[in-house]
Amino acid sequence: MKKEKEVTILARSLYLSLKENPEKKQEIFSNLLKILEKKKELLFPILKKAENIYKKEEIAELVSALDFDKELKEELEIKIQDILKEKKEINYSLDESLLAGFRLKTKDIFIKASLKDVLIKMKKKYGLNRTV
Amino acid sequence: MDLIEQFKQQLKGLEIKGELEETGEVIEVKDGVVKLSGLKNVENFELIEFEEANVLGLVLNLEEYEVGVVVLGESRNIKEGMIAKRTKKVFSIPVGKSLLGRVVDPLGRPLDGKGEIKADEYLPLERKGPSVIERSPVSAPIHTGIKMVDALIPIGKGQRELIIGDRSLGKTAIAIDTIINQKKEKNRPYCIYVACGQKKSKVKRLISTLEREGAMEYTTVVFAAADDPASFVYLAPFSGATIGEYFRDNKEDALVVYDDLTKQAWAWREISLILRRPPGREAYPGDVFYLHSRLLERAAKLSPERGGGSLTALPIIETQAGDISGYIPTNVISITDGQIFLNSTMFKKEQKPAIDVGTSVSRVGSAAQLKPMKKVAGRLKLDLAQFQELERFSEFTEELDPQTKKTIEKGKRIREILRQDDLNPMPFEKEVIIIFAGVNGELEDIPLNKIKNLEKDLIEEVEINHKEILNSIREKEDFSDDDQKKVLEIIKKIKADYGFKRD
Repeated sequence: MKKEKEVTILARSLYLSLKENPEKKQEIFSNLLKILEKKKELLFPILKKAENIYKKEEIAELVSALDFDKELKEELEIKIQDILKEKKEINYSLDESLLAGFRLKTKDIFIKASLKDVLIKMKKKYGLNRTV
Repeated sequence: MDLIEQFKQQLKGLEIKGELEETGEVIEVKDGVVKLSGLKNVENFELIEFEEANVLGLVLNLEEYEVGVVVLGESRNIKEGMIAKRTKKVFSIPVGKSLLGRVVDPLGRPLDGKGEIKADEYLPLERKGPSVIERSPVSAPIHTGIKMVDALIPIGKGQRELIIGDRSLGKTAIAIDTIINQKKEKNRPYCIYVACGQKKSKVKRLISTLEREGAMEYTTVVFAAADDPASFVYLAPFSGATIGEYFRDNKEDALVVYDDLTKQAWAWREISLILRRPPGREAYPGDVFYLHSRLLERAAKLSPERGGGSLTALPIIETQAGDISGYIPTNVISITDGQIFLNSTMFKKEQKPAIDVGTSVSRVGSAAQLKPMKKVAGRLKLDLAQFQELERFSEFTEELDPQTKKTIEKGKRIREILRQDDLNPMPFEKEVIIIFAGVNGELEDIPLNKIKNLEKDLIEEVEINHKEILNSIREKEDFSDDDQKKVLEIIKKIKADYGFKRD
């Protein structure tokens, strides 16, 4: 349990240090190795966890029913930056079951703008398992 | 076609637009507590929803990178990586008269299979008690129907009276007798019985008893079973308080029994340890006092400006081996307005109810007693206290003066008169007659084993031939000197029938 906590704390510290000082990568990594003097086996888990934290914090997953063209993607990115109030890298993927529209997921927000979500909402409202 | 047209109309109002949900992701699920990442703007005590698992959670811990949530239901279907979204609502339950006669869980969902509950209103579980200005002193009594309690440890509307003792000494019996006794009371309060962490068989038996005695029509049972998640046991008393507050705030009276708060403290300890909050004494979290104080402060008598309603609380605490100096018992004793101690020695000697009158107290006292009871019970405590002293003294010597012997014999008979079976609450006016007989009836020459018969005969005689005495006590709240003389005459007559005469 203690090791797990140590890995989590160091991974988050690594991520935050790299975010704030991207130009000092070399220094940050060498400091990390110094801290892990006798526990070098924790290095890989820390790097993996830092990568996961980076993916969660910095990358937004956008799943759409159809492939968007370049113009639409740029428009979307500006709008998303408006909503999230910060710049995030967007990872695009396709899911035809959404029928139309898209879903956008970040760490704190989930935007449901697909036809599938509208139908799910209707099912909940008017479906057989509705309580009167 | 009509149906299709109706559906078309409904669909017209449907907006097809995107939704923005504030969400988090499950990192860890452990023993009914879930750790989430995300949920940046979530508030403390907010409800969140695990849509895929169809269960709600209550936010209890807000940390820098994590949110600690206690699951309000089964956490079996919650998996790592699952999405949870904010509902932006504080936890509320249905309240109102539609809950009377029903058995519900702490979320307000029915457990008795009698159909959906259509609530008058929804009130939040966590509410602040009334301020000092909004209260008024406790003055009206709540009659438990137990002679010992109504005479010596009287409870008033708006009071918090703790019932404390070891297991199986009759704590729940006192609470149930109180609920049953309200059936014939004028200005009857609505009753709420909160079963926290109790056995299902026990609660089933209890509900059957209440139904049999006709008490269920004005009672709601809030039930968190022993095998329910700790969150249910923790929240059940708050649900009971919220249901009672609806009546209090609507100018009515309510009585809530918390059975028992020890189990709620255990559940809160379990949740806090899983949330990694620092443990204190006996591993309880540091805010275990606040857990009970904020619950019990909601019981109050409101001022006339606020409607004059009341919420009376009867919390129950279970001690281990009679240790009332434990952490939780001392906490709750300091919060409540009095306590009823149940003594295992008295219970073993078949002195039931096994209430230790010497250590039990009601801090409201005779302010919550009606005049007739004040008249007859005034000397009772003193007589009993004198008797207990002399009884101990008499164990060491056989040579006693006549006055001492008389006091001891009188005390024994008073103790016999105060004995009462459970599920047998006595109406107030009959209590007054019986206690008057015990204190002033000079029953020393009646054998101990005939006292119960005398009690029965006295009540029968008054009921059949002197109903006006009972009516006067009940309606006019007066036990006049003339009525007292009549009762003494009846006692003399019964004594003569038994073959005992005073020289």
